[in-house]
Amino acid sequence: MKSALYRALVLFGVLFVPVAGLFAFVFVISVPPLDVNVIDYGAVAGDGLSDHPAFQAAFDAVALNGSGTVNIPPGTYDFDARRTIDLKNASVSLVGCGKGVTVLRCRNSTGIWWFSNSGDASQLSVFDLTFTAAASGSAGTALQINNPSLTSNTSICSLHMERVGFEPEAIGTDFFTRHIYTTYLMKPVFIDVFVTTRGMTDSSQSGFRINYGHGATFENCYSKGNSTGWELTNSRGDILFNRCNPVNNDTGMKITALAAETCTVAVLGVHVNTLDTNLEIYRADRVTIENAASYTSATNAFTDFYLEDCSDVEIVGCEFHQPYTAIRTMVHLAGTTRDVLIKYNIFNGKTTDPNGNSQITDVLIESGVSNVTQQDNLSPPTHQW
Amino acid sequence: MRLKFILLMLLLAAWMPGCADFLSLNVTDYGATPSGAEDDAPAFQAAFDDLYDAGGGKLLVPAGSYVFDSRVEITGNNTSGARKITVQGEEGVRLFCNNTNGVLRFTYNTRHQQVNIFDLTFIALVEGAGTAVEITSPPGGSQDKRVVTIENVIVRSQVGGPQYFDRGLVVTGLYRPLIKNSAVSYTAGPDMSDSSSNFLAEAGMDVSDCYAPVIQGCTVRAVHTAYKYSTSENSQPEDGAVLDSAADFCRIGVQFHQNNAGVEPTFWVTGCDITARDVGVWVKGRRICHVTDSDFRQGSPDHALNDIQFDWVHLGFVLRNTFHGALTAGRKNVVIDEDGSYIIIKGNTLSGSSAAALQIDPAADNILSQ
Repeated sequence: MKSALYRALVLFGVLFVPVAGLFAFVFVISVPPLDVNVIDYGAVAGDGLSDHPAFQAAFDAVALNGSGTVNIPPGTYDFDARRTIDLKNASVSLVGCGKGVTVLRCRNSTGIWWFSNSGDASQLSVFDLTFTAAASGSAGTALQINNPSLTSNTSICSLHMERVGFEPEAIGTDFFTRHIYTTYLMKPVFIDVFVTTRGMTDSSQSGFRINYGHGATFENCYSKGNSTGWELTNSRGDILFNRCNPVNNDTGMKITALAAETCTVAVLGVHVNTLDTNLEIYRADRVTIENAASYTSATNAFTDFYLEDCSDVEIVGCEFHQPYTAIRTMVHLAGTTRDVLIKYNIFNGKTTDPNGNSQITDVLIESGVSNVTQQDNLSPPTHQW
Repeated sequence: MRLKFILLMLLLAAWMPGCADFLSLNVTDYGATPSGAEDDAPAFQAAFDDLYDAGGGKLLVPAGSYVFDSRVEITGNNTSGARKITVQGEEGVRLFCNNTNGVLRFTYNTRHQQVNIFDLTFIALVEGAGTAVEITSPPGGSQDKRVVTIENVIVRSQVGGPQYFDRGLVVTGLYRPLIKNSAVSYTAGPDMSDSSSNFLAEAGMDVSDCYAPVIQGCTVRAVHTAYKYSTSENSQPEDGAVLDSAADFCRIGVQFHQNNAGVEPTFWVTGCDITARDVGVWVKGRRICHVTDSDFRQGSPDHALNDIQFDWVHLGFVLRNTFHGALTAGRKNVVIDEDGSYIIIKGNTLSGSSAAALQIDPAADNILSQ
């Protein structure tokens, strides 16, 4: 007959060891997120000294932990040098106290951060703060993110920015040459992100630049005074612009899909007003442009929407406005673009130059384009209002 | 409490000389008590005064209940620089308004300010509690910042009670305000007559004289005019949108009125669900106007409803809306007046035949309708 002690030991072994093992497993595998404050790493708001080492130390601590939040109290933080940071595969949130209330001030000509990640599965979130160019000239690239490749994990959002502003400190002197400049992002999300270059025509190359990205969502975003407001190149996946607003750029939104990949583009309720082309899309498999207000204050040759080698295109409920240029094509279908539905639009871009001449086309269809349906559009003979 | 305050002042004194920079404050350090027992307006006022003097910063409101026997005033009466303020509530912050003026008012004399308000609930303790939140500046020209963000803010009566604020969230004269995921909601009853208590509150959200305001993902219930965007004589607002938002138990769902007849263009109402008694979306004086992808319902079977009414609208779109219910009591789905021109009405699910559901003045020109 086995003793009570023996039975207790067996029971212990049967119950405790797996439980303890599981506990150890959970404990070792899932390290809790690390919540840090940049002040604790030596950052001091408004003291005029550079805070770039403090921010790097805070980022490094969170990246090493695997996940966590870098909190930034109200105030202005100066950056006299750009630092390179490797997030590896960490999930890191950078949280300020509000647009205009937490300010990251770039006093150098290179930029604020270059996230050169050795892993492709990092996730960076940036909330509630303002990036300010204050280098008396170019302040470089505000935020550069390079992943080594596109992660195969499609549930990852590589970059999430919400309630973030980019702006010059002195209008007409300060600017970022590039604002958000990235490669290989998986499904980035931008909500209420404002990029403003003011008083410096053609100084900034781009507002939002997504190269080799997989999908992207932009909502309530704004990009002003850049060569290209949005530039998405070598794109795949689903790209959505909802209520976005490119103003005073040469090109508003330019999207170029990878030929061998599926790429869909939806542009909804945008207010676009640029100088050369409002919207350029190349090689997308499906394009929806709905409820746009397409303006231009250009006096040179201007194209509202240019689509090349696209298929399954709908342009619905858009209005083309402003009578400043007499050389204008409102919808230009080029290359092998096919299966296009253009309906419920008002082509209101008619005007003449001082000599009474006009070269204005509602819809220009090149010879390689096929299956275009136009129905229920209005085309006022002269500009209305 | 007093000791805490002195300590804080000492800390501030030690910290201030090197840097006149933004503050991070907790309203309980100013004597506010999250117990809901006593008047907290003086504590909030003192905290905001310090934020204002410092140029800005964040005011944290810890979880709990706070009472306002008077309105807190933040008045920007100088032009020496922008004031940038974030008010952040923790989860479960309730601000009780026990007066007839309201809770928070920011009055600026320039548009170069910044106000961010997150995660607060305002509860009226009296009928006619003034304006829950008001942020106002004189209107001016165009500008490209978003200077007001209000997210996750709720304005309401006590549960089942008759209390209301006269106006819920009011932002006037500012650049690109965004009011998102917020609600103004009071107790509603079946009486839909002119004297109904449903319509005592004057406006839910009012963004008059703003430049490119956006209201998104919001709800307004039991208010005379749910969403309001009107302009005064000299303001020239461009843009503006009410998106993915709902209105119920109101006389007017969305009202856009421009006094000087459409100087600057564009207005969107998209993805909304509007139940109104008199007018669902009423646009008066606008060129370029999109009302699309929305649902419309009749608020009262006894009242003639115009779901969408365009007065002096040029270049308009009424597309892919669904009008629920029948054409009861003289209801019209879309009404265009004699000044209308170049308007497309297509792809909608109407409440009856086009002839019965649409009322287009014969003098309107170039109307393309289904």
